[in-house]
Amino acid sequence: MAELDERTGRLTLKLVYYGPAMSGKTTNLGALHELVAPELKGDMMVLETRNDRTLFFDLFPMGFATSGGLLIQLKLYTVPGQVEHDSTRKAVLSRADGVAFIADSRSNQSYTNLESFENLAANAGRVGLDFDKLPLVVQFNKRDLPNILSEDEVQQRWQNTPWWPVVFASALQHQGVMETLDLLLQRVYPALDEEFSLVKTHQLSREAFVSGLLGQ
Amino acid sequence: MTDSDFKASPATEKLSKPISDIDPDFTLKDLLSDKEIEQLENKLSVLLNTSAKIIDACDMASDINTSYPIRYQICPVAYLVTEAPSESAKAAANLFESVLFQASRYRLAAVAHHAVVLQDFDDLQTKHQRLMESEAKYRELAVQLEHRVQEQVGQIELRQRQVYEAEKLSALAQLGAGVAHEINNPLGFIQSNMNSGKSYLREIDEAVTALRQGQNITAVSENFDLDFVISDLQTLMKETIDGVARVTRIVRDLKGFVGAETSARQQVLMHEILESICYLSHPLLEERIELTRELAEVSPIMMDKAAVCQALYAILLNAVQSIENTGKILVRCHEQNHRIFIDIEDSGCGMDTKTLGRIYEPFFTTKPVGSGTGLGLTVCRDIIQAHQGTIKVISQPGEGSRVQIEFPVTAHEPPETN
Repeated sequence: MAELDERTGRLTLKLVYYGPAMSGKTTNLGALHELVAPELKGDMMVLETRNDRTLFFDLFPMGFATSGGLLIQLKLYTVPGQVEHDSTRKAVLSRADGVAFIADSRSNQSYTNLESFENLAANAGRVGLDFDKLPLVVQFNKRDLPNILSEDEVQQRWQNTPWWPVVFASALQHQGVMETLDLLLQRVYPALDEEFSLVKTHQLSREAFVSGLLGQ
Repeated sequence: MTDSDFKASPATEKLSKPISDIDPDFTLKDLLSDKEIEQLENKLSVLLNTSAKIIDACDMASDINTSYPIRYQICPVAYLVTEAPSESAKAAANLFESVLFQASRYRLAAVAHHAVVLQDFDDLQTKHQRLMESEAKYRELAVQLEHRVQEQVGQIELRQRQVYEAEKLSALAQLGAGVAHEINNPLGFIQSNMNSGKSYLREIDEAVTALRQGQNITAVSENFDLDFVISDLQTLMKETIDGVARVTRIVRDLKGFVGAETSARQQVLMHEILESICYLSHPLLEERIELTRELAEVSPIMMDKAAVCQALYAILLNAVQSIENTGKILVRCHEQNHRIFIDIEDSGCGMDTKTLGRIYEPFFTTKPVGSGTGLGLTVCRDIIQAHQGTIKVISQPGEGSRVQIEFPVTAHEPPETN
């Protein structure tokens, strides 16, 4: 849950990149680190990878100051995808304001995606998040690879869910990465505005909020 | 789903404790020690060629002009205060940020590791708690089960007892039927004798009257056939006395069977009991079975007389029933080395090994349905064992059976008062 530190005038948000192992969560964060241009941009922290695998989590902090003097701090995290790191996933997911679910588009990964999605739903419940209300964007990554589910197939499966539309991406090519974060910030904003009355008290519209963080 | 954690706890169950923040807002002091900061200040001073001070963000006074922010993530945690040219100072601040960044890697990993370990421990405790609860539940179930088994056992024992008693009654009923016949027989001829005796007495009375009236004794004697009347009356009286003696005997023997429910022990002479039983079985023998007794006098022993009578009678009954047409039964007893040996031998049909192996099994019977409960020998053995006795059956098909019973002589046992 977002926290507003009245003393320092800092509102901190937490977004988590979730998904099965090797679906490209860290690649998404790395691409964003190069693509976004907010006023304040921290270094990307990669907590030890072994054979390209995240052991704890990755962290990319950024932020901007609103015209009213409020510092919006956004922290992006990835979770480790492998099944055995479930405790770490729960620790990272705890208090998240939104989730980007990075699915692997390859057709042989459908079951792994489903498993991870169900794990997300279960873990959200365990750490006290209401999964039905949790802002969530689904990204189908690796569109540049062969043997992937067609966009039609993905649409068939997802268009009747609350998470449609999904984003098609190729994180290595930096495609769809910004769109994913953009969409997630759009979906996160209403809850934030309701809780911290961003428009009324801080004169921060949804457009200013998104563009301030993406640096566009 | 294949994640084993899913199965361990249902999806709806929340963690018992909130997870600590894995990315806390570190201060300068969290990331570097005073000594490390001092060493860095010294090195920066050398590089910048002028004094360089690192001031913690919370100690920063507003009147210092020439300061450069040092950020951790995106927020300043310290300031570099130096008179060095701004280009060099900014480079030095960046360098310091790199140091903080590297220092934070270890801290973040440590914090994350700690959070995960705490959570795993918490999970374990929850699982342990659940195990304890389920163990307690099963223990309680086990106790309940024990109670129910005991109740059932009680029920079965009660029913067994009832069947047992019914078997005893059935043996007594057979005994009663035989005895009734045996008593009826003498009663019949006693009654008939008495009627004859009554008419003989009337004739004698008339003869006496005639004599008183002065009739010749010879004529009177001839008229009334007094010689025959008196002689026959004597015979009738003797027969009647014999008959009464037989009934008396039967009643006395039957007394042995009375008081089965009191089970009080008393001094018993085994040869007398056997004598009684043989006598009572007499009506069963008809003319076809020859019963021989070889009963030596033995020492008295303390026994539940009624129960032992029942047991021995049942064994004798088996012997009688094993003889289809004609045959012999031999009943013997003798004492040797403070033990009393009883043998009941018959020339009946005998038993094969298979039947022999099952004779003590409750409800096992070779008799037609309805004529025996199959508890006879079971009850017998229980009674004999209750008196520290043993029973052994030797048999061959077609060669009859031999039942050997032994009782120890327990001398001078004080009679129980029950």
